[in-house]
Amino acid sequence: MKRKLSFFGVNPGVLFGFVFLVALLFATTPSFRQVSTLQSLFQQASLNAIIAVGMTFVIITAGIDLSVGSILGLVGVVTAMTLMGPQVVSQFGERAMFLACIAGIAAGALVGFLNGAAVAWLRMQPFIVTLATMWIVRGAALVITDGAPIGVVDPSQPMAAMRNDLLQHKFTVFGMGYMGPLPISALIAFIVVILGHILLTRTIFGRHVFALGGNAEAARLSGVNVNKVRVSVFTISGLLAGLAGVLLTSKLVGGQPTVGQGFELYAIAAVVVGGTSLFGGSGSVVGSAIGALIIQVINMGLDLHGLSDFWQRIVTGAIIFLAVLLDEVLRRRKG
Amino acid sequence: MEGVVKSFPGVLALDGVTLEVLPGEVHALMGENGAGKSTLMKILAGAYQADSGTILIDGKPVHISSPREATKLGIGIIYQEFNLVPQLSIAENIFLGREPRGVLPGWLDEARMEREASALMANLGSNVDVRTPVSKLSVAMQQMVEIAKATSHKSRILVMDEPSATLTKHELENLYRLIRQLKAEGVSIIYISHRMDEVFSICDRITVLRDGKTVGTRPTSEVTPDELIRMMVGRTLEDNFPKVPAPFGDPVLEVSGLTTHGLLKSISFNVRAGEIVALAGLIGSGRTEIARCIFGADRYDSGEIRVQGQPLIAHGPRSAIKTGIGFVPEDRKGQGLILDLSVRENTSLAALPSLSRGGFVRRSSERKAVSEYVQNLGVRTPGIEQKVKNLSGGNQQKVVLGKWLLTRSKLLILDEPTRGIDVGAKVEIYQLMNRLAAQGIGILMISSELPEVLGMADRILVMREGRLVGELSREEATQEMIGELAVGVPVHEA
Repeated sequence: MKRKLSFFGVNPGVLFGFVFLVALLFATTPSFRQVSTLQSLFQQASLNAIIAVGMTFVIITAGIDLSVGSILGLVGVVTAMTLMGPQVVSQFGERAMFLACIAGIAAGALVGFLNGAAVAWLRMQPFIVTLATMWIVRGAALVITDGAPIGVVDPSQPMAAMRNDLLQHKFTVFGMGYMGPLPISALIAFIVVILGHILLTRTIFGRHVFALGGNAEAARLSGVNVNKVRVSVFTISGLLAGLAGVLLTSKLVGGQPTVGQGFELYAIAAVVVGGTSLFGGSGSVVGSAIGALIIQVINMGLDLHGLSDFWQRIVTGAIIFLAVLLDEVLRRRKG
Repeated sequence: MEGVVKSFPGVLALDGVTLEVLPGEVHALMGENGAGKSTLMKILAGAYQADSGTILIDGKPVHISSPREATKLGIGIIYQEFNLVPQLSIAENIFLGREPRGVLPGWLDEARMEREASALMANLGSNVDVRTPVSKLSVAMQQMVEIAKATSHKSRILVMDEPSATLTKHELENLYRLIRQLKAEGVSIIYISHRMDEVFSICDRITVLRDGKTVGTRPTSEVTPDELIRMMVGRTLEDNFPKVPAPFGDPVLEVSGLTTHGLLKSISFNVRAGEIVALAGLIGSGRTEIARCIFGADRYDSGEIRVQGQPLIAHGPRSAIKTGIGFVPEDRKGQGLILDLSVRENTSLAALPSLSRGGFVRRSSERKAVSEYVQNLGVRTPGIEQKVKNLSGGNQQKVVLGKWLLTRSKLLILDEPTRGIDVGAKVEIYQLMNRLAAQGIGILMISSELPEVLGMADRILVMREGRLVGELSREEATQEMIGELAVGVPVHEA
């Protein structure tokens, strides 16, 4: 039996592209060779990678999730409010940090579940549903906070010293801490990618995700509970956006209702660059993670060469265009 | 077309095929699936380019570089898969891309378009409202629209790729009439079909392809069906319907009073273990609806379904599968298979719980189980990791069967089990049905092909307009009896 050349389901083109880029930067840019640069590369790619893992599940079922950027904003607010809530802190002390994580992730998962419920039971288009929740969730984050960020409080406030200490020193470990040379957020992303990969490739659920995206009617007639799968993939996407939101809150030292705008597009870009088809039925979580790294490496490379954020946008767009074009050409060749 | 060669990566699809069609001739093109018929026609249509060989029209060599070029040369094609836009009306579909211009530039002469479309449809014996969206039409009616569209091009060469697959007897008569009319106008028709009776009743000459080569061209009057099959398969098929009766056991399926407000009216019957029961009747008589209700794919309003004596309470395919029902749908590619997934993934899809532990698929057990069924069913594939879209129709159908054997089904519902499958593979499917019946599986078969019904079924139930109108035993049934019951009036032999 002929075995296809692949690395965790990632198509070789994506992998070669990544290796080539890294090698190119390594050779041409001295500052790229520093450990601190690599650390910040992984740290910065980790949020997008985590969101992209959830997005991959949705896109393999031929759906899309536009709400993840707004979820980051809402989750930031929910996380920071839990962490900084005087009652919470007075009652739970430092354990407020874990409550904050759980509250943030749960908020993300809840939005994802509602997205999935609308898609599955109300039979609405994923694009429309998540376009709507993108607005609603962002609006909710702004309404809750009246548009103001939740951060360090005035010393006159109750429990102010302990609350500020939690936010400014303890909670920052998730987004900015290191375990040895490894950024903790990158470590978390790594674990998410591995778990996502296992879930997608080794479990019944994963198989059902591919079946649903490949042919929903055939899947239903083969006994796949298609509604359950639909709800699950959106819940996963929301949950992982929630996790990313918690990390972002830690990194930004506070909850800002306006953060995460456009993150849904970065995640979709990572998924597409990673070789997952927007038509559904095929794709890889590891590919999406590499896609997130590719986008980050390019931005960082341009940065190191002194090209502005404006140029980075043009190049990111061009990369997406080329990645999809390459995929299309390869597909047509294979026939 | 002379000495046409076309190769795809790894496959030599056509190896020096020659086909000659005379003006005003109806020329049948036959061959098993994969013999190269469709590839040859796609080259004629400009969808593919030949690697070598020439195409001559009226003795002049032509180069067909695109479908547009083919249309200009007077070549029209009716594909097996429809090229219709579902949301648009019949008239809009027929004139898509060449709508009649109105008085003002850019305007559409709707009245004229609808008038001409009506005339074209009337010519096919249909007085349907041409403003109806195509999505509202039955498959057979869509086929008629496709035919009307192709004839409206005033083509000199018209290719029909299995035009009759979905047509009823009455519609087929209209198609024949149209073909004769076109023929009288000097149009050459290339008629691709698997059905012997059609080829012999309408075609002048027959060209047979096998493995990308021309086997030969014969006048219809000088060849017998047996000879044709030999030419197509390259060997003799002793018996088209190798029926082996199996001993019957207890009923595996009991249906009583099954009713849907739309169509089915109090349907009652049973299927015993080891028995093959056929549901015959015209398209739209309710055969497929019964199958889908039993399997839980569609809802029914009243009635009871028992499987192995247990009433089926919960609704939906999942509970049907749990009680031991397997369903091989009519639309293999649309409902039976996930084309982009592998043979392994398709075969195991319904049986995953039994092949996994704690939600994790045990991949070695899965590979072992799938390999066993692939071998057992004789699926011809380079390996179980092959995508099913790369398999031939017959092998795809075996994968669908394998899926339901892996769940240990006690009742198999086969909806048009041999549609679009070539002669050799059909016999293999029939042999499989025998083996499954011998293992004590009950089979409910729906088929529009009467020879298949008569050849394979132990008992035949005939449907008309949502009712069961007759039950015939294998011994007493004849084509005429089934036909009379299905239509409701005595048929005089055409």
